[in-house]
Amino acid sequence: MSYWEMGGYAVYVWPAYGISLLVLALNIFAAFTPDKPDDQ
Amino acid sequence: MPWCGWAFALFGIAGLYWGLALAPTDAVQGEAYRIMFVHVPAAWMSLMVYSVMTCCAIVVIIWRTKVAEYWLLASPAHGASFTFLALVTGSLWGKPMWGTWWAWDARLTSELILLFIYLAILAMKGAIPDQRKAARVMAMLTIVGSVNLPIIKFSVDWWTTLHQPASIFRSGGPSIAPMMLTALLLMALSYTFYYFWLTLQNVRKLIDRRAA
Repeated sequence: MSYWEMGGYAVYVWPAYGISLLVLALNIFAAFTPDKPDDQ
Repeated sequence: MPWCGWAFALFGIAGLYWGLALAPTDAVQGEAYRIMFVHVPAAWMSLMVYSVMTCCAIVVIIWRTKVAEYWLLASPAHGASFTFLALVTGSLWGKPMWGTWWAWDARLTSELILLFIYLAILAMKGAIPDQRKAARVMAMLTIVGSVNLPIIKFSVDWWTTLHQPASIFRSGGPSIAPMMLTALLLMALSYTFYYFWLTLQNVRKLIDRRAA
């Protein structure tokens, strides 16, 4: 299997993995960022 | 708590390796089916987080337990994220398989309604400065919204849908190949630990904020 092409489906598969990793990473960042004083 | 983060990472790496390198190509869907390894766990988690929130909401309404309040306050952002991911990755899977990004199918529509319910709960949290009052209002909204859970789960049985019926949790056992099932379960475990890891971290922040 070519990971670049994935039988023509790479254009769907990689964005799905990319957005999943992005959203999970953003939540980790948000959880471990200290609250601003304004938020309290 | 950190061990939940490590478990998330380890199961996630194992699941990605299994799903992208070891699992065979699907005979019908080709490589496109590999979206399943991020889509299905996200969809499961969208329901699991809401189920946990519903349990917390009942405890908040009846006993007003602080731990349940904290958990209820800390959860909806993650539930909304999982629901959003289930919808987006499902759309990316739907286009090559169904020929459309979206259909007003019972499963898709009820999952979209779940996202709106999560957003409404988050709006309640943001609108009420007092955490204890916010938790009670969120609890009531969560309990009302829980009626959507069985609708999502059984939508594929109750109505004729474009979305496929259950292939894992069904009578007769899973209908997918063991290699694919292993990757799916590893990713589901990873997402589960992720949820508990970040929710515990958010609970810690809420406790610190209340103590400040």
